[in-house]
Amino acid sequence: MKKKKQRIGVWILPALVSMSVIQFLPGFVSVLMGFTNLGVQNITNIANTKFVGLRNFIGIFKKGTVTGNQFMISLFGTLEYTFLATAVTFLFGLGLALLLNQDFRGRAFVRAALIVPWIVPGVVAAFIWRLMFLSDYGVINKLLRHAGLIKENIFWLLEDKALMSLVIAHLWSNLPFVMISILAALQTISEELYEACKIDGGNVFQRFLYITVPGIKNVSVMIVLLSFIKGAGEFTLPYVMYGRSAPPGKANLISILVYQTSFQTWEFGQGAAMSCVVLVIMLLLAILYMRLAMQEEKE
Amino acid sequence: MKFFWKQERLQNRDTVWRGNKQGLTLQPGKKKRENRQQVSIDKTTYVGKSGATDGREQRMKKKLLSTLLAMALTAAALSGCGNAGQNAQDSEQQSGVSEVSKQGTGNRETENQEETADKPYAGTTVLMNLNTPSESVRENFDAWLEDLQARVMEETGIELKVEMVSWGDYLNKHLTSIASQEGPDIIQMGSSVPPVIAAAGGLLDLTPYMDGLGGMDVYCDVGKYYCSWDGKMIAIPWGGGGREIYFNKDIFDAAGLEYPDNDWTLEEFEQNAKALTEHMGKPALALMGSSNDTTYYFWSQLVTDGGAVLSEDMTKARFNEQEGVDAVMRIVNMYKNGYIPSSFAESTVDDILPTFINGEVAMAYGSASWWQDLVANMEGNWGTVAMPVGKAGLANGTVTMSAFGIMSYTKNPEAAAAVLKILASPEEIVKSTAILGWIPFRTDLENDPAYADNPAKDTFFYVAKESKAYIPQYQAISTVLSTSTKYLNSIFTQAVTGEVDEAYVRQQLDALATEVDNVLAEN
Repeated sequence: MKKKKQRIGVWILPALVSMSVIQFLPGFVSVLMGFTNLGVQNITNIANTKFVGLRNFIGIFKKGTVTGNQFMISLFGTLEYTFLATAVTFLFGLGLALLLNQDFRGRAFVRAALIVPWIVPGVVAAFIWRLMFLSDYGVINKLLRHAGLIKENIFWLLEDKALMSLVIAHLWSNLPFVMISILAALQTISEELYEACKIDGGNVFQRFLYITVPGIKNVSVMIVLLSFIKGAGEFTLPYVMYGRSAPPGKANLISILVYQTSFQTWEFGQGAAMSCVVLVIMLLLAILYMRLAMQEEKE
Repeated sequence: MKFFWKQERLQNRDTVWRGNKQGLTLQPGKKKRENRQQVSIDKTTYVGKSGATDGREQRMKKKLLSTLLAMALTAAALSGCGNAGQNAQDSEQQSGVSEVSKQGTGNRETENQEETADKPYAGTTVLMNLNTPSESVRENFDAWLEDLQARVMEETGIELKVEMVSWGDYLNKHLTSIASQEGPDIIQMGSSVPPVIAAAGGLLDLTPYMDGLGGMDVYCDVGKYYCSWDGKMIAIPWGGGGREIYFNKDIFDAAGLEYPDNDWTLEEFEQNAKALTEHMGKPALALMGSSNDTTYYFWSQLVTDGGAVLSEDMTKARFNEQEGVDAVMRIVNMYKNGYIPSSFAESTVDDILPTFINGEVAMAYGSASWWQDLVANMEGNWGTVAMPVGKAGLANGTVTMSAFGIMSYTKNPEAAAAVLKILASPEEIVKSTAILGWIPFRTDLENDPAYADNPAKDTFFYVAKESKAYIPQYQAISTVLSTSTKYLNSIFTQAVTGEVDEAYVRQQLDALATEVDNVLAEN
């Protein structure tokens, strides 16, 4: 047994070495950078970079400073965006998957049509959404005006609506993945179970609660976790949607702030510190979520 | 490829694996060091308990050894990747291919000794990074580059290698190069970048080379300003354009207005906006309230009215003085009066171009690079004019300029300077800028026929010659810019969604000034 374990250890060694070099090493360097004053002023001579302890971490949490204020706004904005985007995408995906699991004419066409957003590159999707959201010339306001739903233009890309616009664009891009995954799980549930429940007098809600939900639970856990991770690290969408400008307020998600800090104002140490904080928060949330999911499974 | 495996009993820990033409052979008892890759294997790992090798153990050995071989190959590949960022010269010195190539050309070099006597840099390689031009000009640009490389080789014997980098991340790449002290010898930079790289100690002082680069007098003041740092020339202006006001001639004609001149005033600008708005029945002027162009616009407006962005010693913000408040209020009032569409708060300069082309607005603040799109889409019914002037004269230093610089870590500064001398020569400047649709920042090239097709050239040359630069040459300028843009965008958002008065603008600019003062104090 011991020998077998050793053998397995040797086999996974190449992958472990590659992973360490490609993934863990940059991560480790990034954490280290968070404790230094690495910036544009000492990039020519890294030997001049000083260990500054927790200064960067204190700086990003310090109230009343530019960095501190912006970091807290971005952090809470990212959490709000992540929860909203995950919840909305999951609920819409579930609804559509339940719908497409029914037998109706044109089902194949609808399924194919709903997958289209998945194959549109993220950059293209973000750019198209920006054009649609523009207040004066965007198609969304024009449609709403023609439908008589609004009289004044809505500023989709400004203030608090900016975050909502990001969620809508995220929903459009990620819905197909969630829908297909749940649909695949739904199709593994035997029809006989539904029929048996029906015979026993179970109504639609009970059939959903006692047959559908357990049947898609495992895949749902994975979808929520993946959506959560994707949402927390969202970069392309706000970066492209806001072009040369920074997204306003909460919509300036943490990944964008890290990019701005590291590569627009050249404070690499501070940018790395921000990344570390986000990493820890997301890790804790992911662990908490996995534990809850596994606990429920045991029960 | 087929590998043959020769198995021999492992006798001691000096056994080595060695590659040869037939495959990989296990040769015990030899410890000879060769350049070929060797992996030592400890016998204790592979010899069975009894010392005998049964079939299963032999299979295991094969597996283990092939695993180790795979690891060695992976390590070799990874170490190979590590060399990717090295500069051309180092790569050449280290790679076997270059060695062979050098040996092969050795005799020819001797034969041509006389010919190369006037080429002191013969055999030297210079690596240049240029930012990727737009697809529409790429073919012509590549052809120019080929000619340039041939000319550099012919005149200096230098092999000029060119790498294209994207506009999006070229500064990151250059800062990484500075950190590793390896990378291109010559780089291209946008107008606000030289101080950032110079502050990092990344640019060579070109002042001693200026005589060979045309002399200081041939370059316009705005160009020289953006290429200077700490009293030294750290870059050479290549070409670009400015920010101007574009106007639709058809709408001006229909409204019965005269076309503006380059010396028009802020008051005339607003009068035109008012008249055009009344004529069109909708906002006639497109400005942006988002992206750093907003800050550039704001700065130019306050400077033309006699204000300043920062104090001369760059220790204190000055944009929150009365001229700054007036400049912001001028924009807010133009929106309140209906001259600017409400979408300006969310617009970048990129959003403005289509609205101008489609005739949605009669005037637009735009980039010099627009002219090719306008020629293609609007025929001749458009014109361009310098920014309106205030009490202090034209302040349109927002040049979209590209400049060349030599990296301080270069091992061949003289060779790089020799290449730069050719690059900055009038004929190469004319050829390249004409392809790119730019104007040169050399005043001696204004009347060159190469620019005759550019309908905006008169305005561009006027702006380049007459305007004063106002963007502070300051190492943390990007922080100041992004912070200013954030506040201005917030003011303009408030203007379109609520109410904004002078007191509010003053309060916001004061808050911004406090933040900028902190940035100045930290740097």
